[in-house]
Formats: sequence, C-alpha cells, structure tokens
Amino acid sequence: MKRILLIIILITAVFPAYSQNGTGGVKGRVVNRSDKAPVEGAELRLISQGDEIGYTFSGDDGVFVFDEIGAGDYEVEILAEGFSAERLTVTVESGVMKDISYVSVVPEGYFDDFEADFVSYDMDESGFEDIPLIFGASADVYENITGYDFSSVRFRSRGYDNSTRDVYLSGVKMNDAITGYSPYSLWSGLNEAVRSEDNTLGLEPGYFGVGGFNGQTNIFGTASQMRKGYRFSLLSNSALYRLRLMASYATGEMDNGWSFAANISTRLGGNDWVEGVYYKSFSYYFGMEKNLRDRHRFSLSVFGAPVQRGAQNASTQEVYDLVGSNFYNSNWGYQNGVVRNARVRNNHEPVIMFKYLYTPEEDLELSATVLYRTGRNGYSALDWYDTPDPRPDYYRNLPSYFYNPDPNYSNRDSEYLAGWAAEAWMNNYGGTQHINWDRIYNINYENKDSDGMRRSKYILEERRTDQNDVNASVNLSWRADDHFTLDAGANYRWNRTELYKTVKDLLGGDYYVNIDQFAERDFATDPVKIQNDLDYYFQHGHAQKVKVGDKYGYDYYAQIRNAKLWANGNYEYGPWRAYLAAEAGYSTFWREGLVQKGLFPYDSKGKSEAPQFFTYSAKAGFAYVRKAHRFYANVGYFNEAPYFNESFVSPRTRNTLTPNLTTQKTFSVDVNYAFSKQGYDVRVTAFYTTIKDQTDLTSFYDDSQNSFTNFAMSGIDQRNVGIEVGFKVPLPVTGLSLQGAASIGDYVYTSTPRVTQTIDNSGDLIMDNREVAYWKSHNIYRKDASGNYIYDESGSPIVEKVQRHYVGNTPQIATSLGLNYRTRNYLFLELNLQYFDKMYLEMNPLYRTDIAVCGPDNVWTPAEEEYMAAQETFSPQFVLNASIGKSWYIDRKYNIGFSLEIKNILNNQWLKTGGYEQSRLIDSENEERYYRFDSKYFYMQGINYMLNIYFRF
Amino acid sequence: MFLFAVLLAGLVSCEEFGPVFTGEYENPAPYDIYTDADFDPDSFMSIADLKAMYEPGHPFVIEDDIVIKGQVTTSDEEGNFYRSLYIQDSTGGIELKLGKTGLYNVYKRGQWIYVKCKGLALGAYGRMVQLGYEDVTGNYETSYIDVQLLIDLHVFRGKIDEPVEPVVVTSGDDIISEKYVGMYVTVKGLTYGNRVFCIVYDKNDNSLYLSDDTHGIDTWAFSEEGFADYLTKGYISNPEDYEPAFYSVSQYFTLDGADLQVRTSGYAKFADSKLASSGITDANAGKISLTGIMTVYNDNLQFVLLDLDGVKIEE
Repeated sequence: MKRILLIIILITAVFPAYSQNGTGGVKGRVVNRSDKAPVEGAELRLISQGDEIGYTFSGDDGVFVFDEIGAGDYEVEILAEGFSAERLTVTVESGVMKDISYVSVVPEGYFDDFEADFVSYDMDESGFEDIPLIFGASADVYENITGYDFSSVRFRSRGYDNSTRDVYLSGVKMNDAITGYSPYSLWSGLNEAVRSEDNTLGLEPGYFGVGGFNGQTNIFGTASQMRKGYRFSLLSNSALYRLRLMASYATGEMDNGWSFAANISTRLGGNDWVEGVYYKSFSYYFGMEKNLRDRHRFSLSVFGAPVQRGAQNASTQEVYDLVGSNFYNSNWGYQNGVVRNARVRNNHEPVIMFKYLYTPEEDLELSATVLYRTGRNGYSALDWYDTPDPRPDYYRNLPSYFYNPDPNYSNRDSEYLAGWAAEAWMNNYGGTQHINWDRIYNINYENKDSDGMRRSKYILEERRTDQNDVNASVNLSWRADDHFTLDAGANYRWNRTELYKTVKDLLGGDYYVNIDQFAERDFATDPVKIQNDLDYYFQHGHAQKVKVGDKYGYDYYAQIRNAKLWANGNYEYGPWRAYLAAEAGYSTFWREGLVQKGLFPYDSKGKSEAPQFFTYSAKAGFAYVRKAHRFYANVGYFNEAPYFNESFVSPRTRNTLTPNLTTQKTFSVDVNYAFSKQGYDVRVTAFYTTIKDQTDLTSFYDDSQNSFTNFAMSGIDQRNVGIEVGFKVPLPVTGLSLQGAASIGDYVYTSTPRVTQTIDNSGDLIMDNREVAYWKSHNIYRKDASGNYIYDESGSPIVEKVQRHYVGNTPQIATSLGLNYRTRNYLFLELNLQYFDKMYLEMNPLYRTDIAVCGPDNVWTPAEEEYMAAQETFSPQFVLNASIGKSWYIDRKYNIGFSLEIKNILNNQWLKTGGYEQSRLIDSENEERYYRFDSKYFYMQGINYMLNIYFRF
Repeated sequence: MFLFAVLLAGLVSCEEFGPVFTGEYENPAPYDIYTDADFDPDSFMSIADLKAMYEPGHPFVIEDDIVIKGQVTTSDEEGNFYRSLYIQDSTGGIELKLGKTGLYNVYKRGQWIYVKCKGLALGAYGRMVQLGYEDVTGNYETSYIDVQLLIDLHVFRGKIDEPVEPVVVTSGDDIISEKYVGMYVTVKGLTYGNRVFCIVYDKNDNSLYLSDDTHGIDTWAFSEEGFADYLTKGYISNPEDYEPAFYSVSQYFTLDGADLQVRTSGYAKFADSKLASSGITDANAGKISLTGIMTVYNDNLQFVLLDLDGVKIEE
C-alpha cells in the first residue's frame, strides 16, 4: 500500500493540473480469468492520450487504486508476468472513486515464448485413435506441468475419458457430435489463432455452460484476440513431423474499430522413430472483427486444416522383438522404392464462425455465436476380397503361428517352420516386415474377368465421416451488483454426418465389386444376401462395379439434434464465493440408412428408432479466498445422453440400437486448496467421482469370422478417486525454482456390464445382452507350496484375494519433479524427471465373460479364471526431459528467440502408453480351455528433440 | 530464416519426406516370369518320375537338385480345394501343399509353375503322393510349406498359359486302374448312384455314418446353414443332439460298375447346391460327365470338382 501511495503522490506531483479541476479515481482487482484468483504484483499503467502518466502494482489481494486523478478518459494497461497484456478504457468523473471491480487477465502460456504448446494441437494426431487430453496454457501450477509434460504418456486427467473435457470455441461447445472427442484437429497448426483461451479445471464451473467434471477450455478465436503484429516461426522436431513453418499477422483493434488477423502454417515430413508416419498438412485462419462504439462487436472467422497424415499401428510384442524395435509400424511398404502408408488420414473440415457481442452497459454482455463445420474426414485402409490378409503382422505370418511350446496350444508344433518365419522377419527377407505392394498390384493385374477387365482383389478404401454441423449459442453475462453475477445461455446443435466408404485406389485393377465379401462365404448360393446395395442389384441384375471415388460398402447418416439451457449464479461476499449452476437439455439421434443391404433388407435403409434423452446437470461450489490462500470445493451431478457412436450394435450395417441404452450418470466432488504468493505456487486437490451406465462399442476385423465383429457394452460403471498436487517453490538462487506435480489416482470398474456381440455378415447375435461377469474383478485362489490349488471341505477353491480391474491406458500414478530457471534477460532452462506407475491395458469384454473363462467344455477352473480374466499391468517407468530457451529484444520492437527441448534423455523405449487386447480366442487341443491372442501395444518414443525459432514484431 | 529452412529440409532424409512430395505412386512392374532358362537344365524331372521316388510309408526330404515343372490345374476359388494346389505335366499330376489361402489369386489355372524340390518333403496321405514340408511331429507324412519365405525359395511362377485340357475317361477300368490319379480328368457316361457317404458328429462327439442310401442328402455337401436345414427334415433321429457344422459329403456315381465318389467339402461355395439343379437326379436325364481332379483316399477313388461347371448332362 505504501508503494501505491507513493506513486499517487508522484502522479499528483507531476500532473498538478488534473487535481485542480476536481479529481476522481479508479480502483479494481486484478484476477486470473481461469480461476478468479487474485493476481498479485501486476503492473498497471495509466495512460492518457497515448502517454503513460502513472503506474501502480496490485496488492496481494489483487486490488489496485489510482487515486486523485483528473476527470476524463483514460486507458489502463495491465501487465502481469505469465498473463497476456490487457488494456481497458475508463472514464473518471470528478469526486467519484470508480470501482471497475474485476479486471481479469488471461494466463499466457506457461512457456509462452518457448512455444512448447505445439503439442496441444499436434499430439492428438499421432498413433492412437483415442485423442489424448492436453490443455493449452494455464496459470494453474499443476496443469502447467501435467498438461504438457505428461502428454507423451497419454496421461488422462483424473482417469477420465477424453470426451469428458468440454472444448468450446467462442462460447460454443465443439466436442464431436458423434463421439464427444475433443475437436483439436480442426485447428491443428493454428497455434497463434487459438492461443487465447480460458481454462477451467475439474469440476469448476465453465464460462459458457455448467461445465462438466473434467474442466472446460474456451478458445476465443476472434480477430481482436490474436496477438498484435507479425510473427514467424520455424519448428523442427523428431517425434511427429520434421518441419513446421508458421506465419501470423494481427492488426489488433485499429482506431476505426476493425481488427484483422491471419495465421497460416504447414507441417511436413516424418520423424525419427516411427517409419511410415508423415505429415503433409496446411492450415489457415482468417478473422475480422468490428467494434462499434464498444457496444456492438461483429466477428467473422474462417479456418481449416487440410491434412494428410500417415498413421501408426500397434503390434504384438512378438513382432516388436523380431524387428528389434517397439516402434515398428505395420502400415507401410515400399512401392517402387518409395515408402507408402496404407493408412492415411485425409481431412479438411473448414469452420465458419460468426459472433455478435452486445454490451449495452458495462455490467451486461450478450452474445450470439453460430458455427458451421463441414468438409471431408477420410481415413484410408486396405480392403480385400477373397484373398489373404495383406497386413505383414497378420498372425499367420508370425513364428508363433507355427510353434508354441505348450502342446495344448492349438497344434502349433513346427519349430522348423517357426524358425523360417523368424528368419524371414529378422532379416526382412522379401520385405516380410512390410506391406508387399508388388504382390498386391500383381494379383490385381492378373485377375482378369471374361471381358479382360481387371477386377481388383485388393484396394485402398477411404472411410469417410463427413460432418455437417450447425452449432449455435446465445450467452448472457450479467453483473447485478458487487455480489451477484449471472451467466446463462442456450444452445442448439444440428448435425448430419454421412458415414460411407469410397474407393481411393484400385491398386492396378479396373474395378471392385460392391458386395459383402464377408457374407459371401455363408450365403454363397443366395446372391441377394451378399448385396451391399439391393436397389442397384434389382435395377441392374448384378452388383455395382465401383471405380475410384465411388461409394460402396455402407452409407448412412448419423442424425443428431441437441438443445440445452443453462444458468450459473455466482455470489460473492467478502472472502466467500459461492455458485449454483444448472442445465437442462434434450438430445436425440437416429441412423438413417442410405442403402438397403441384402442381409438386413428391413433394417438397413431408412430411419432407425430415435431414442430421446432428457438430460440435466447441476453443480454447486464455494470458495474462501484470503490473501494468497484459496479453499474451494465443488460438487456436481451430470445426467448425459450417450453418444451416437456407441449406441448402435452394428452401425455400418443396420439400425438396431444397443440394448439397455440409457443416460450416463456422473457424480463428482472435489476439495481444493491453492496458495500463490511471491513465486510460491501450490495446489492440492482431492476428488471422488462415480460414472454409471456408460456404453461402449468396439469393432474390428475378425478373420475367423471373415467379418467385422462388434462388441456393444452397456452398464459400465467406474469410480475414480485421487489426489492432485502441484507446486512451484523458489530456491535461494534468483530465478531458480523447484517444481513438481503428482497425480495419485485409483480408477476402477465397479459394475458387471452387459455385452451384445454381433457380426456384420450375419443377423445372429453371438452374445445377446450377456453379463460380463469378470469385468470389475476376478479372484486369485490360494495355492500350496508346489503351486496346486487348495480346496475347502465343499470342494471349492479358497479365494486368496479379489483382484480389481482398472481403467486402462493412462498412468494412475504420474509424478514429475524438476528445476526451472528463468533470468530477467529471457533465458529459460528446465530439467524434470517423471515417474509413471499403475498403468494398465484397457480390457476387452470377451475375455471377461464366462464363455471365455470356462472354455469350450464350459467347465470353470480356478486356473482358467486367473488366466483369462486377468488384466495386464505395465511396468513403471522413469522419463527425463530438459529444455532451454532464450529470446532477445531488439530496439524493444523486434523479438527473436528459440527454444530447444530434449525429451526422454534416458532414451527409455519401454514405456507402454497403451494398446488393446485382441478379442479372439484359441481352442486348446484338449478342448477344455481357451487361450488369448496376444495383445498389441503402443510405446512412448525414445529420445527426441523439438527446436523452435521465432521472430516477431 | 528461409535459408535455414532449406538447410534443415536438406539435412533430413529424403525417405521421410517421400510421401510429402510424391503423393502419387507409380504402379509397380509386373512380376518377372520364370522360364526354363532360369533353372539348371540337368535338374528337371518329370512329375511321374518324382512321384515314383516315393515309397509308401517312407516320406523323405529331397536332397537332390530336382526341379519339376507343371501347369496349375486346380483353383481354390470355389473352396473345394483348400491351402494346396495341383500341378500337372504330360506325365502326371501332384499336389503342392503350399499352405496359403486364396492361392488362385497368385497361381492361375494353366500357369506354369517351377518347383525347386530340394529341401521339400515327399510323402503321401491316404496313398495320395504330395509335395510339402517335413512334418517334424510325425503326425502326417508332410506338412504345409506355409511360410512365405519357404514358398518364395521353392516355388516360381512361370507363364500364364491356357488351362490344361482334361483327360477324357470313358471306361470304368480307367477309373479303377488309378492311372489318372492326381490329374485333371473328365469322366463321361456316369450315372448317379443314389447313395452318399458322410460322417456327422453329435454334441458328445459320437459319430453317425450316413451311407449306402441318400439319407435325404440332395446337396453336394453341408455348410453350417445347409446342415441346420437338413436337421429339420427328419432324416436324423435325434436332431436336437446335433449342432450346425460344416460336413463334407461323398456322392456316388457309377460307370460300367465302377464306383466314383465325388467328395465335396462343406466349405465349398457350392456345398449347399442341390444335385437336382444340375439335372443329375432327373431319371430321364442323359448320362453325366464330371470334370475335376482324380484322387485316392486309401481304398477309395475320390473325385474332386473345382466348381459346378464341371458337372454336365451329356446330350
């Protein structure tokens, strides 16, 4: 306070003229927009007619005061370390101390100049179908460390599925309408355009809507929000793509009220670790905005990212060991000496966004936003007809197919043949390790029909998911008085997505025939049943011969309609804050088949039943804020509709809904403490969550059935409990601090779900709404010293312990400890060591049914339960990372800098980040038990670098 | 900065950037066609001579540089041949146990095949001489070759020629003499025998022999669906004891008193086709001619159709 007084004296001394005309003042409180925590030590500059006439700093409660200044219009510029600069206009009236209450500042990237946030938009595209959850910049000490550093191990916050994090663009929820996934790929490569964002964490209420239980990100995306000036950067890294070039320019708000902004970039090349993975990506953003007298703002933005990207595939450990690398990728092969990947994503989904913001008075803000997303989303894959599986790591090509030391294991008894297969794999004879494009083309060349035309046996198909998504919101933000604020809004979403396949490449042939090859074996004598398109068949008397670009296979619309209303009231009194938020919604969807399929003539074309869901959520919380301390707690209940992609038993073929379809119910509570002062930063959170009635659909090609098989699960419950800790503590050396984060969780399944298994080439239900009896746990039985089971008097084995089953594919224990050094001349150094534990492979339902456990003889034994129902645990791992960066200012105008990061310095190549179990069983020779197929894994990449050089002015 | 970008792009390997710049992929060249000139002229042997090296009960691994050459006569497209194919020269035919599925895509009927026999095993199954790989378990005389590397080292694809013309057999003695075993044959003048041979198993693995009569079996074999359908027809006394499964069936034909079993796999695409649809069971129809591979299984001659085009009613 003394300092502020001193400054005020200075101001009055330098500008005595103002005080003569009667003086007023301005006061307010600087808070972090993310969590409303006070920001201490922010520098506030008072500007009159372009000249800085005074400055002050905010106190530890965030409060600042400019006293005794003359009446008139001023600008206040707020500069706080770690936050974007803000400017606002105030009018000072004589004799009035104007209270502008909150001045919220947006956290700038933790690294900001160091550009490390590139991952948040890029990592989502590597390897996994499942997109990892990475937040952008955040002021939260825990989030800063975990959000970035843990991304390479696919850490999922609090063990939640990634679709639970709400991602908003300019106040409109953008999570994929079909899957719920975060939509980051829409703006990948546009780091500058989407840099400005708000984040909330966990159960905190969102800015636009009640918010879920896994936080909310709102990206502004408007032209005026982009950092003013030019910026160019060049980035090279060895983990994803080799080169990124990016340029951006923003005018900021000009005197005439207009703002313009543009951002373009390209990402090109492959990486050091996974062969066949490459990027050929471009992105663009153009935005314009008009501010009319600070009352009306009109904003129009268009952006998109035409992306071609070769994908990675998981393989079994047997294959990785044969090849000598855990980064082997089975998706590619040499074609005329050039690497060709069969699995290429080819997307371009432009988004147009229009926003109108109306501020009739200072305390009221109304906005309306309409977003339209369209374009193409394609993912190619090999398709084949009555010819061997072309994938190099197909199990019949592996040594394990020829020999297994267990004589009971399916008659795999030839060590000789296994030896030959191993020889071929290890030495890559004849390109054993890769897709054999030569063979594929030659088979197509030679498959001539009676007209001399070549009927392709192998083709590249492209699976399309082309969205038309209209998403509109109106939002209101009203500050009733110093104590009460109200945010409310309404949202409507209309989505029609067409899912179909096209022929991408005939691979040397002239045509492909649109029949269900999978059905053909079973219905060889019934040509009607094998048709994918009966209308065509009846019209022409034969199936269509499809060419490049033609649709074939399946074709249907996913139709989705959502509407919701929400409100959030905040009350503040002294150090106390409290809020109550609620949401009510309506959701429906249906499948609309566009072709009539021979196997399901009455259930494939036209509209399915449209389940309707009335949804609601409610949330409440309070906070107690005292100086640098903040206690807060939240509780919420969420009743949400299932997503389209998990609601049909076989969406490619028919309209049948998953049995027991119902809303997902989540209860969540968290208790938090945060401390932030003079470089100290601590947050501790405890959370407890139950999620009930989840549904899930997994589909994959099962060559034993010659078909896609689908497992539709319902009634999956889980319970996630844990603690999050983040801290940053200054050390005696100036600029050096110790920082760390830990997420200690326990995420388990708690229910016995049901599963329905279907095969796309058959109307039969392989499993009809059957209990997955061993889903949440299995028993471990007592053994004697020689390993034999001990039985009680009644002849039952004695249970030693109940082994729970865990939510997989994320570390449940993730910790990081590091040193961070920053100097005043913009030098930055960081070193951190991470430790990950309690990592589990995600389970499939098949191995947890009594069918699989009991075996073909249907007789349960303790050994079978322990083998079949068990869940694989990954070994704990350490990872060491370091980074360095420096930036220079030239004439206070030009800024040039670089950052270099070396990840995984210890070159750990054994950290499994996830994978999946193959849902397939092998009969034993004695027909008493089943064996599993080997699981497939993804590994974290070994040592890799990321270098970024930038220039801005 | 631009210079730096160029420098950086130059530093990284071209392969990594290949797909970025190409995008389009040129079609690979057609496979090389092997000819006699690719093999040692002294190593050629006729199929009949090779088969003659086999002594019943004594399978062996061939240690000499022997090359046989023949044209593919079979196709697994219709599913009645599985994991193996037959090649034939002017002296005879032999089964090659390659072990892969979808062989007809790679080895066309009429295509010349060269087999380097050194390292492969010659053995028999039910008296039918086969060329495969050594079966170390001793369960069979030969095993499937199966490993692609082994196939690539032993089997070479030559020119695709016109399919082999079948040898025409018109007398029962020619059937009984077994002189065309392993060869592609048309047997003319056949009469449907109105009897079948088929073994089915109940849920407890008890076998049931369906023989002598037709037992209402009017198809070439049973697919899973076909057998389910058959169970409803009342020919089996306790149908509830059976589960749908794939079963092969032998349908009997005669010529001059000589029996010819036509054996069809339950996995053949034409398994559930009715014999009547080829006109066979029509009492007024003329004689029947069948085209396929003549094989033996122990004491029985078994005739294997490639497809239903091999079934004709003679004018």
